[in-house]
Amino acid sequence: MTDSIPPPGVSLDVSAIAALFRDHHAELVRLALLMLGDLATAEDVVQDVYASLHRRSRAQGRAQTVEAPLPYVRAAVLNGCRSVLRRRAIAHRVGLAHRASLTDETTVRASAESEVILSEDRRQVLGALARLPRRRREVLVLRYYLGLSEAEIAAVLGISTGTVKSTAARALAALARDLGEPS
Amino acid sequence: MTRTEERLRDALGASAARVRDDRLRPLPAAETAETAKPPETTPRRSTLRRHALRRHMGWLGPVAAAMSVLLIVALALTVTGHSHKATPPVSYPALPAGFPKYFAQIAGPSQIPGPSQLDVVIRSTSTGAEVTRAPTPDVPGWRLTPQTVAAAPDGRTFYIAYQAVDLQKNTSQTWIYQLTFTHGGSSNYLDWIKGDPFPGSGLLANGGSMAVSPDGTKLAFTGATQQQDGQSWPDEISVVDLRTGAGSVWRVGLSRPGQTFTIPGISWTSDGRSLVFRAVWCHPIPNSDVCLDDPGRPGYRGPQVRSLDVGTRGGTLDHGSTLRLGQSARYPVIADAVAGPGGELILAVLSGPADAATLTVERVDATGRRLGVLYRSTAYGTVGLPASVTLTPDSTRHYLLLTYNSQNGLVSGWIDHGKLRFLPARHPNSGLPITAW
Repeated sequence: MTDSIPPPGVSLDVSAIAALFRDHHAELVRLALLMLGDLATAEDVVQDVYASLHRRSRAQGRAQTVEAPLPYVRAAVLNGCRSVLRRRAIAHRVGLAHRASLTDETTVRASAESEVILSEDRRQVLGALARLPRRRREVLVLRYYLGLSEAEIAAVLGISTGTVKSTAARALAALARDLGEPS
Repeated sequence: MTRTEERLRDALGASAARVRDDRLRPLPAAETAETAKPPETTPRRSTLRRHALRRHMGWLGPVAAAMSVLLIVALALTVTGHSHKATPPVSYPALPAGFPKYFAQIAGPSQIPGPSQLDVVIRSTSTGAEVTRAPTPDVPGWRLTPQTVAAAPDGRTFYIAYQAVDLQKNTSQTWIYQLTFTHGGSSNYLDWIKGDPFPGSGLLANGGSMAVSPDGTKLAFTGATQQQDGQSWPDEISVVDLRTGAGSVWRVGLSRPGQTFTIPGISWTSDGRSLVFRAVWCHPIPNSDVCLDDPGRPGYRGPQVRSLDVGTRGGTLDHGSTLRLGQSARYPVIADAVAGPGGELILAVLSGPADAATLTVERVDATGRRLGVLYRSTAYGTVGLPASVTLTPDSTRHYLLLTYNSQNGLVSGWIDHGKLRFLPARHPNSGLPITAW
């Protein structure tokens, strides 16, 4: 499903944006879901990125030129996820967590659904993943869910391949420790 | 690959598998992706509504900010798994994948709700908990009453039709608003839709209905052109493009002398090209909102199920629509009909003696051949009128809500392999049925 992806260095106009999202909508939502943990917010993030790219394209009056459209959009989705996570962290700091956990019934619902689909073992792994620092979590998701190479991960995150390599190694070691496995 | 890597890959794959392509909220159309400005309406109505929205939503700013903080924390807890410990297990039976998350109900807080006391309440289909609530807008000089609600396929947008009575002129209009709410319902936003004033009379009268197209871009609703004994009966169909506000209307052409023609319900076919509606010829009971479709009356001609090609862009109902199914020995009283997921019809049929009627919900192909019975009940009895049976498909058309008057009062449930499973919500005192999910 990569036929409609514009080649590197070409214009990301409105139709190219639409085609890109049409072909990769589910993948982008899954990426956001793995970073955020709930589907509705993941969908919101992807919708926001889509609308934002449209707005930018229209506002500039010309198509935006990007080197690699798909990594660019993945990076935009990850940026959106970071914003959500930042807001969550702030909310944690103001101490409203307990009240929210009791008032948001949809969260209960999402948990119930997850319970059916995810086994205890998987929840344990995802819990350990969620406890990792953001950058490490991003590297692991890009590598072990999307199967990206170190160079591709570097392109999405805007870091060097060396940093990707070291971050992945540290993240895996931390994950293994948390899961009680030999690293 | 180490054991940790294997477990990680497996867990990520399983978690990502929760995302089903066919259940993703569709991306907005290119031309509506930038939704910065509210749609324009006629100046007078626009001003009124803006005023109403400002009044209505003035408190929403700080509340929404506070609630969004609560929401964000709750989502964070989901990620870390803390909510599993903090909340009790859900005691309701598990619902199938792809099942609608929310349903809408018009509800009032008092025993005998007045016009302004009715709210539209969005509830969770799994727990019945109230997710969000849209109080009726308070517009100076107007009295608004919610009449019916339609659900959009994104699961978080509902369209609400209000009857708006001009208190000075004592005339009525229908105003349609779009209710959008955030995940968890911590905040909602009520806005009017494009296309106002609508084509045709634009008046949703007694028993009027609305339906959103499968792609979420069009809204179809019934309007009333005629008034009898101070009552209006829906006898025309309007379709509005929600992106542009452009509309079409189909009216007249199916009247019969001495009878009142009404269209009690409409639904979209799954390809979004046609509407299926039930054409009924009845006799209004003076000073009531009941139009009696009485099978025992001499000269009775039963309802017809017709389909309307929305590509014809307006006209008369006799030329714009085609007959799909009429009254027959097999289908003596067609109490409701909607389009099925595969192009077939789904009928609610009453049969047997009037004092002990049997209600069946069945699938019927284009030739009228029965494909299968989805539900059968003898509890229908003599309580209520045939028009009180309502079928409401969800946006995927795979789940069907059945509402009818049983001997025990109003019943709403979804059909699950021949059984009716009630949604976890009591009917409020107003007794108004669930109209959208």
